[in-house]
Amino acid sequence: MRSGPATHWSICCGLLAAFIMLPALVSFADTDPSAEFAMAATAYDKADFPEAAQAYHHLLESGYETKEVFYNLGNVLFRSDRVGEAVWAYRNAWHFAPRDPDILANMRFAQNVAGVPETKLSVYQAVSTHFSLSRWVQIGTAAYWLSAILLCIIFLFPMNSRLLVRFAGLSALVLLVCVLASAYWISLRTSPEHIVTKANVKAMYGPFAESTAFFNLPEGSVVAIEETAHDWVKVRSGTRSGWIERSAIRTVSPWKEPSGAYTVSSLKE
Amino acid sequence: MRRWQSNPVRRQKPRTLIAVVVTLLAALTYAFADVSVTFDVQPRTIKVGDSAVCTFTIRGANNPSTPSLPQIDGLQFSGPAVQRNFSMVNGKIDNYVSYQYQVVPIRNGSFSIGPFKYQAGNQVLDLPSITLQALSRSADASQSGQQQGQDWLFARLSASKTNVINQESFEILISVYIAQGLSIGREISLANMPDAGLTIQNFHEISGVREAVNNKAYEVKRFRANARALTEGTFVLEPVIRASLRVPRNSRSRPRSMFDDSFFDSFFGRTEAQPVDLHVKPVNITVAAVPGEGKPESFSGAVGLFTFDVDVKPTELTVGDPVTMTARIAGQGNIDSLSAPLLKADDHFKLYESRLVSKNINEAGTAGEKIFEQVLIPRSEDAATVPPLEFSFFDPEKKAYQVIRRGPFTLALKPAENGTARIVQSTTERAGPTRILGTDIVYLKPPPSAWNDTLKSAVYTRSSFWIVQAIPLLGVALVYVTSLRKRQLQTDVAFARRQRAPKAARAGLRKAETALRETNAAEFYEAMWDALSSYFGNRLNLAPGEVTDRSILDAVEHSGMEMSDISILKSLFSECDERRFAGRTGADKDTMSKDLRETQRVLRICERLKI
Repeated sequence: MRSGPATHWSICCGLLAAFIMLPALVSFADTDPSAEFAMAATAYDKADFPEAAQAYHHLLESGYETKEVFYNLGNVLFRSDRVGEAVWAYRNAWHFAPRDPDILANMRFAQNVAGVPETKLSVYQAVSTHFSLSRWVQIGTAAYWLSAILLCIIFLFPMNSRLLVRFAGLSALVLLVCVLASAYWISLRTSPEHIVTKANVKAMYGPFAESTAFFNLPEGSVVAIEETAHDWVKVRSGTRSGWIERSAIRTVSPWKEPSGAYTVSSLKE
Repeated sequence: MRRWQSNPVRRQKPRTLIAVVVTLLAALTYAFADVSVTFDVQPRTIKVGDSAVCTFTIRGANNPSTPSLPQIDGLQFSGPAVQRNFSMVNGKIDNYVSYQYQVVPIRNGSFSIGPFKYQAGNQVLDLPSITLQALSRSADASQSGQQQGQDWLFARLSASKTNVINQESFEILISVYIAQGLSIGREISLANMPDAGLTIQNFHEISGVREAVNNKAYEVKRFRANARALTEGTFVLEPVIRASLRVPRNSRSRPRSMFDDSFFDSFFGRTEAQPVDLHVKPVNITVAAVPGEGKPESFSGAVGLFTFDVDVKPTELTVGDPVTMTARIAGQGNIDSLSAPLLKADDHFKLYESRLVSKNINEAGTAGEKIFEQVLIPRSEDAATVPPLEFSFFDPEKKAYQVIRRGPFTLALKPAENGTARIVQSTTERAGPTRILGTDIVYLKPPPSAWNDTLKSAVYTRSSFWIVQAIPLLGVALVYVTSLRKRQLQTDVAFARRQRAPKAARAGLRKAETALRETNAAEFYEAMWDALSSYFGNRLNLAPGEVTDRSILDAVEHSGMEMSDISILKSLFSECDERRFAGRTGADKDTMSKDLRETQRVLRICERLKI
C-alpha cells in the first residue's frame, strides 16, 4: 500500500501529541481514584465527614488535585464546621474554574457565614478571572497560531490581503488580552493568596502578641502577605494591613502543594 | 613689600587689646554696680480693647530674673518680650534689660498695677503702683459712667444636663460675649478641660446671636460640642477660653513712619492679635451609675432611647439550612458603642457569630442605627422555634430600664434527606450567576472526566509545549524571508540573473558532457562556450551582445582571482573561439575532458568570488 501525504501528516501529528502528552501519562500513582472518589461521596452522604475528608485528602496526596476533589473537600470541611479551611479548598478549586457557579456559590456562602465582607474586583481582575489560566493559554495559543498562519498567508500572497490583515490584527489583540490575563494568574503564583483558617483572628499593629489589635479578620478572609517576621506575617485585607501569626493562614497554591500538606489532623476529634 | 604686609598685623594688636580692656571694664562695672529697676506703663489712659505696654527696665544686673505681673480682674497680660541693651558713650557704659508686657483691658474702669517687690540678688527693690485708666469705647457710655466696671469681653459655659447617667450624652455650649467695637479672631482654644471621665467631641461654631446683658448689646459667638460621660463622679467644667482679640498695633513699640496714621491703620487693617484668656463660671457635671436595681439580664450598657426590630428569614426551610436573623437598633444615645444583642439558643441550633452589616451613625456618635446579622442552623426538627431576642437600655429621661423583646419565631422545618442537611442538586456544566447563595452549599461534584486534569500537569507547564510554540514563529520568519527573496527576484533583474547563473552554466556543461561522450569536438566547444557565456552573462548581468571574452576577463581580473586561473579561463575562451570560428578540428577526448574539468573548476572558483 502506498502511503500518501495525509498518512505522513497523521503520523507527524500523532508523534507531536505523544511528545506533548507523554509526561502527563506517566505521572500518577496506581490508586483507583474513581473508586476512592465514590467512597468519599458515600461517606459524605452518611455524614461521616472525617472519613470523606480522609479519602479526599488521600486523593490529593496521590496527585489527583482536580477541581472536583478540592470542591468536594470544601463541602466536607464546611460540614465539619471548618469554614476557613473550606474556603481554602473552594479557593483552590476556583483556580481551575473561576466561573464555575457551584464553586462560586459555596465559597461565597462559606465566607458569608463566617462574616467575610464581599470584595469588589477591579476591571482587570474581573476580566482575568473570567477564564482559568489553562483556558487563557488555550485561547492565546489558538490566537497565536492563527496570527502566525495569517501572517504567512499575507507574506506569501500580499495581493488583496486587507481582510487578512484585519483578521491578523484581531488575533494579535486577542493574544495580547490572553497574555495580560495570564499575567494575572501567574502573579498569583509568585504572590499567592492566603486564607485565614482560624477563627477570631485579630490583625495587630505589630508582629507580637502584646501589640494593639487593629482589625478583625474573619475566618475565610482572602489576604495577601506583605512582610514576614519570624512566625508573624503582615497581611493585607482590602485597604488595611496588619500582623497575624503565620499559623492562622493557609496558602492557596493548587499547582505546587507539597505531598502530605492536605492533612487536616484534627478533623476526627 | 615685606613691610607693607606686616603692617595690618601690627595694627590689629592694639584693637584686640582695647576690646579686651573694654570687656574687663564692663565686667567690673557689672560686678560692682548697684542694681536699679524702673517700672512704667504707657499709655496710661486707653480705650477698652486697646493695648498698653508695661515695661520693667533693670540696670546693673547681669542675669536678672524675670519680673512677673499679678492677675488683675479686667486686664489681660501677655508677654514678656525681652530686650537687652548695651551702649558706651564717652566711656560711660550703659547696660540694661527691659521686659515688656502687653496689657489689654477688657472692661472699663481704673486699674492699679502694682506695687511690686523685685528681688535682684540680695537686694529687694520696691516698685510703685501705676494706675491704668480704661475708657469705654462708646463716648456716651463713658460720659454717663453708668457702665463703669462692666466687662467688654467675657464668656459663659452651659451644659444641656448637669446630672447625667454614665454613658449618657449631653451638650456643652460656650458663648463668648463681645461688646460692640471689639473683634476677635476665628480661632478659639480651650484649656483646663477634664482629661478623663468625659469624652468631649470637637467644638463647632453655631450661628451667632446678638444679646443684651445689663442693657448693653453684645455679639455672641457660640460653640457647641457633644460630650458623653464615661465614668461616675463629679466633673468640674471650668475651661479657660483663649481668644485672640484684634487690637490696633501699638505704634510706640516701633519707629513711626508716614503710614502711622489712623486712616492707614483702619484702611489696611493695622491690627494685631492679642491673646486674651477668658474665665467662665464653673459648671459641675455629676455622673451617676446606671441603677443596679431592676437591671435586665440582657442589658449591655445601652443608654439612651432606642427602637429594636428583628427579622428572621427564611421561616420555611429544611433541617440543616441556615436561618438569618437580622436585628436593627436605632435611636439616640451611645449607639456607637453598642454590640449585637445576644441570642440564647439551645443545642438544637448551631449559632454563628453575629456580625455588623450596616452602620449609619452621625458624626458625634450619638444617633443613628446599626444592623446586625446572625446565622443559625437548625440541627434537627426539634428546632422549630427560634428563641426571642432581647435588647434592653436605660432611658435617662424616664430613669428606668426599657426591655424590648422580639420573638419567638416559629420555623416550618422539613426533615433533611438521608438524615443530613438538604441537598441542592449540582449542575456542574451550567454557567451563569450564582443562584442559590444564602440557602445552603451546593452538593458534591461528580468525578472528573479526566483524572490528570490538574494544574501541575497542565499542558503549559511542559517544556515540550513551549518548544512546539516556536514552530509558528520560525514558520513566519521563514515565510517572511522567502517572500522577501521572491519579491527581490521579481524586482531586481541583476539579482535574479545572478541566482540563475549556476543553473545556466550547469545546463551548458551537461551538453558538453554529452558531446564529450560522443567525441564531437565542435558541439563540445559550442556547449562549453554556452556554459561560460551564459554563466558570466547572468552573473555579470550582461546583455547578450555584451558577453565577450574581453569583458568577462576584465571583470574577473578585478575580482581577486589568481592569475593562473585567469590564464586558464583566457585559454578556455580562446580554445572555444578557435574551435568555433577558426575551423580547428580533431581534438582528442583527453583534451576535451581536461578542458571540461578546468571549466568546472574555474566556474566553482568564480562562484565563490565576489565579481
